[in-house]
Amino acid sequence: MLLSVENISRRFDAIVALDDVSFQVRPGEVFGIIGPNGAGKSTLVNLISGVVSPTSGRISFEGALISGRKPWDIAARGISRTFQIVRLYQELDVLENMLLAQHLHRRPQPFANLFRTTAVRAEKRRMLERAEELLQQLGLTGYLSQRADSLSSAEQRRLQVSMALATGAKLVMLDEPTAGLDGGEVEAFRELILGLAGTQGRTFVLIEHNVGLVMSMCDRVMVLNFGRKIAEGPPAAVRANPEVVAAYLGSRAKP
Amino acid sequence: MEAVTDFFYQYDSISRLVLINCLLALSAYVSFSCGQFSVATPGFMALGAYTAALLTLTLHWPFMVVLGAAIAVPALVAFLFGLPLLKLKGVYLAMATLGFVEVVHNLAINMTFTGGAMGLMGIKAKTEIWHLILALAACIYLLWVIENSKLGAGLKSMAKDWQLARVLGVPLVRYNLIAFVLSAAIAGLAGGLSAHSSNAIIPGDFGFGLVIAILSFTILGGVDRLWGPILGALFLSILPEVARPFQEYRLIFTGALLLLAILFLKRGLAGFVEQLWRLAWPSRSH
Repeated sequence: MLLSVENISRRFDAIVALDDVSFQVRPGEVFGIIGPNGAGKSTLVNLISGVVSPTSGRISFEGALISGRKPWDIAARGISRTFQIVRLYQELDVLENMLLAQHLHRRPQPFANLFRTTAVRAEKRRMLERAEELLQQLGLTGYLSQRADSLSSAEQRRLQVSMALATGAKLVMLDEPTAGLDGGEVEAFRELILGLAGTQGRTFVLIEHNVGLVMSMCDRVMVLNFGRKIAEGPPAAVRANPEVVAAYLGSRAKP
Repeated sequence: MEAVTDFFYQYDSISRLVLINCLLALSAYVSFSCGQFSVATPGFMALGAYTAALLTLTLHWPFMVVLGAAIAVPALVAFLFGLPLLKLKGVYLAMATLGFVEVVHNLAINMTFTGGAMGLMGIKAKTEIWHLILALAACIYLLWVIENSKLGAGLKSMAKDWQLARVLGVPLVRYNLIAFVLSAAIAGLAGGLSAHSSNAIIPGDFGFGLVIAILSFTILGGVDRLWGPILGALFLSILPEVARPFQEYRLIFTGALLLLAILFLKRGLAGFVEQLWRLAWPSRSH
């Protein structure tokens, strides 16, 4: 198992955001998490990336316990995320965004920097090549010197993914990555992610409102409602689950 | 070369003032450029100045060792107070560091070993103009090197969006502390050099007035590039000398200029100069 979440709970004062949730993510899969507003999806992402710590339970990644560790440490171990409300260095260009995203891949080399040795230029070249390679994979070739805030929202969402990959992440959590995109853009995004997951061995956790998208691109899906897991399994099985239908349609499931 | 040395000797005191102000502006810049709104520079400068003055007056240590101590003591204090202080962000950090400046200021006034409100006198003037030039050049080079390093990239990333920086793997606490300590070290160096520049130091040199002056340097110059605060310090240190004929209107003049800069120069003097540069040579912009 790549990621293993065991009996995780998180309370914010009287509110129980997550209640005893367990699941596992296998390497190379696209794992979907759906649920109505307030189901605890965002809290779960924050818990896994170490921004929020669990009230109880444990999270491990590649066999090592990560709950309780610092966000930068968890990032260094290979977990990254994108944000529902796009976070980029808006006033910097695409290349600068990609260079800052490669922070974990730079070595601190004080002497090389102090005396401007060739190692400095070599590192710069290596980072540039990596940036170009990743941008190409996300269909952003030729955007290097464009400011991030001049990109369309579909392009900004793809840049977020390519920055997350630039950290060297093995697991990328995509928090509502298609919010605000039109049908064609959603389809293009789906193709890109499936391509990366299939051929590159990257693993994705997809948090979405768009149930159709989740069902069409995930290997397995987990459903949260009011902080509790109500279903988990292949898309077809989850779609047929009466409790899921009830949570989404608000109707009582037929016996 | 001779013309240069002549110039510095002719304008000795103003040159010293300008160079020390440039160092102080750089100290503030180190904090600001990673998103840390710390105004602690005068407090750290005072620690450096009193450390240097006391070591020279009582122990007669060699000047270079004294300067080393003037850097080390504020750096150590920044290291110890940094962790609790830097939990605060934005204007709360500004208030806390302002409190720190006032505490140091009041300790200097009320302690006997610091000479009270009269300060310390009879410090041998050992700071040559070239010491100051060398110190400033070394600081500029060091900060430029850092800006192009892994550390610098992380600091920039934190300043622009610390929540994004965090998930990209930037260790926020450690980098914040490094910037705070570096800022204190530069302020301490400025303090040590200034204590040996003028024979005497008094607590009033390191109070609220200096906080405002340093803020003015950085705001007018612009904080998003290294030479912004230097430009601001140069401008605001030389301006009062140039505006001497206006006498009591000098402060009003400076205030008005600052207001104009805040209203119209979003990226400070440095940003304005760069814009002019680009207008003049459009092909050079990348």
